[in-house]
Amino acid sequence: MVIAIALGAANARANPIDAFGYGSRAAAMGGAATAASEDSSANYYNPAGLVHGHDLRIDIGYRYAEPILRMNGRDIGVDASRGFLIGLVAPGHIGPFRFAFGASLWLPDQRLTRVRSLPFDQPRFVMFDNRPQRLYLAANLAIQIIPGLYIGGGLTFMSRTAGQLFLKGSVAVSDPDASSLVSKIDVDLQAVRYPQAGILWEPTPWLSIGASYRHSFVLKLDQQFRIDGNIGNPGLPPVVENGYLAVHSVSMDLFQPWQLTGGAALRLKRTILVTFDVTFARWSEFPVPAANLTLGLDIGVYNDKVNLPPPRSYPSSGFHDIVIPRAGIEWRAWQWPKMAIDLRGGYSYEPTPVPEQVGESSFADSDKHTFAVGAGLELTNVTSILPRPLAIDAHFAATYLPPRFNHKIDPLDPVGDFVADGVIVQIGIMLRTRF
Amino acid sequence: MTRVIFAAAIACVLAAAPATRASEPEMFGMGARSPAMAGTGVADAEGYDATYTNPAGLVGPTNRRLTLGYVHAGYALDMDGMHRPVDKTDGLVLGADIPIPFGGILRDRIALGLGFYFPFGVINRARSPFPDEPRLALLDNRTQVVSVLVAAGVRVHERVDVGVGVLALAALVGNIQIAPVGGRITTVAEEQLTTSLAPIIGARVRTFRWLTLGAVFRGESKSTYDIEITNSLGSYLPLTIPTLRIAGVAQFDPMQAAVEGAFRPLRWLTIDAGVTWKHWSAFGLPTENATLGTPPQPAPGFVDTAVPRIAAEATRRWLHLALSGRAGYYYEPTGARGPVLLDANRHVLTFGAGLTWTSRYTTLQVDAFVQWHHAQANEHVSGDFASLGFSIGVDL
Repeated sequence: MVIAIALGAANARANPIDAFGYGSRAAAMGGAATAASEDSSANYYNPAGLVHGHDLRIDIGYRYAEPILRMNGRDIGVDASRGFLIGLVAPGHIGPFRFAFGASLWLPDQRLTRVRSLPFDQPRFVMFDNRPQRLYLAANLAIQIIPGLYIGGGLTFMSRTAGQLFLKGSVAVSDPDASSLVSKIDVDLQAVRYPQAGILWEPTPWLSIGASYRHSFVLKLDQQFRIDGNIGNPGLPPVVENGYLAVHSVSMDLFQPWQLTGGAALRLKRTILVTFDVTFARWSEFPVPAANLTLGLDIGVYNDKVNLPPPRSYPSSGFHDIVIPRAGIEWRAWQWPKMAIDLRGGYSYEPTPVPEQVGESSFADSDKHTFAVGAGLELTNVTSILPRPLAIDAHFAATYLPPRFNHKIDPLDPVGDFVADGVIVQIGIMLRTRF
Repeated sequence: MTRVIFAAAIACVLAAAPATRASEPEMFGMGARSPAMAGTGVADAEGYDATYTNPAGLVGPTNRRLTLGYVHAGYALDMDGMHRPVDKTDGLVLGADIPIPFGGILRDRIALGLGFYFPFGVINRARSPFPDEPRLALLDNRTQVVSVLVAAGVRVHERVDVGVGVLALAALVGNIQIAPVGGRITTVAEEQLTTSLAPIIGARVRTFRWLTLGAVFRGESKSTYDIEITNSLGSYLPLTIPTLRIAGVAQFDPMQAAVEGAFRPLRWLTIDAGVTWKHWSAFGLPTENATLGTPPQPAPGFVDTAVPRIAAEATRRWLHLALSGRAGYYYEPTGARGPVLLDANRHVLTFGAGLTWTSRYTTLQVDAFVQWHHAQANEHVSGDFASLGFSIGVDL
């Protein structure tokens, strides 16, 4: 018996930074950082901000997010998102021409990535089910056009697997556990990339205006199984020679919409910074997250007893585009010669792009109100070992999903009417060093 | 400017480096100096070479340096009397030396190093034939995988450096289920890429001006895959397809311990001599059985090996230039014992050169190497292969 399995399974998924932000400073300000990032978080929020500062920066942090998401009042156990943040910013100049490179890494501590294809009608929180369970890696270049005007751009990297698996041996008819099969594998892990870009303008010392674009991403999950060979029982002549079963499954997974963000940062006083962002997210391109399956089969004398149902087709997902407003504030509450303390707060509102679930699918979601607070401690020349500023930031954020009712048209729908709601809490800490 | 170039390299490195580990450093050595000197460097490698040879060496240089290199290898090997095609090795090498600019008592005492090998076109390759098919167990596709090495060195005493590093590894775990849902057949699949880290720990002692001793331990490095395929088609088919498990080891470097001495009998001459013990007996089955009813495969039966190395480097200095010539030899006995997992003992000759140019603006380091591997013919395997590479490093 020979079983051939061709895999085009990808190990990449929608962006966890979209869901929970990057870095404690920006997260504490509600993610409104497009015009106010110059540390490694600028690799995500606005690559143009990388060239704003003058110091070599190395940032290290940790973030934990715990979803408590319910359907009909029952927590459905969406996995926590936790992992390390590592970032780098290195500005420089050739005469008056300034530029900078940056890289940011989100490294989950449970797994690098997880990809999952579920049945179309399986209930799930479609926006959080797997979104945080993947690696995020971005690298950018930024330059100063003229003093006060900066642009930047780069690539975000993911990985996917592609290749084939094969098995050979014999399948036992009367006792499947007596089947004797061995395998071989030919699978490559390959890189996947998509771009991002941004612009930052400082028309006055107290005002910054920025815009950023993050490209869309969708992954084609292509899996093929082919079973060739003999069927029978150990020690007896095969009942079927050279039979086969072929399975080909194709699905779109890990969708991330393209996003366009505009933002502003106003320094109202020397100690107070207020930021605003508005993001347009193109969720209407969301593909159906389920597999399209084709089957082929030839098992000789058993063919007449095969009763495989036809493959399934799916309706459109019907997602719609959304606009996400964000606002944040940073207040330098205390300032001493060697130490300063910043207090931060923020809010964002993300309407759900998911339509009410009235048909076969049960994609749970709701609007998201995120409230965030945080603090930062900046130390300067504390010891001779660390002469440059060192900042420690921490944040806490809670995302509230108000109850959203979904009324099914079919009274016999196996899931039935349901209500989705929940809370997501996250905490994080980040150490930002300058050299 | 220097910061920018330096950071650009780091950014590129991080951007292209999913956490996967492979055997290019184990096969040919890291960088361009160590491969020219028979893979030695435990006692005297500095800079990013030391991320693999001995992280204690990272604390030597005090300048930030970025290095870009290229490695190529071609194979002419026969297996059981037939030409055995082996994928060429083609890849980029990136290295970064990052002294941490602490002040006070930590000044010039801590340094980081990054070493990367990126094969063109692939991050990792898992390719293993059926268990009964003979293959070159230790040469097929071994260099078709990214190598990621991150390490730090600390000067704990004027004569003593220690270092620690990690090799980042990836493993593929998943399951695929074919099942009827709502009266229709569909697939439910999940795959996870997980990480594990293999440690590298080293120490170096400058006993006399003419003698430096080094020792390093490298943990076992293994990239695995494990995919389970299940089905619930029982009511639709007249037979039951058993649960299938596709599992095995895609990449494997054994646990190693190496000791080495770097002798400087003359100011212009360095002689490295050392031995590396490799725990090949831990080599597991490349491909496990897919079903419970499959007869057990025989154990690979590998044995541990010891690799002696000797190399020399002669350096001539002028005002702003230094030119080094390098040569070395090592004998790599195979841990494989057939009859399916095949390999051969290897005699390896290495050569190389290095040029250092120092100016008021920067220091430029150019290195190149050539290795010739001769597989000592046995009843299954014979042939040769060669590798070459070069690198250019700039102080920033």
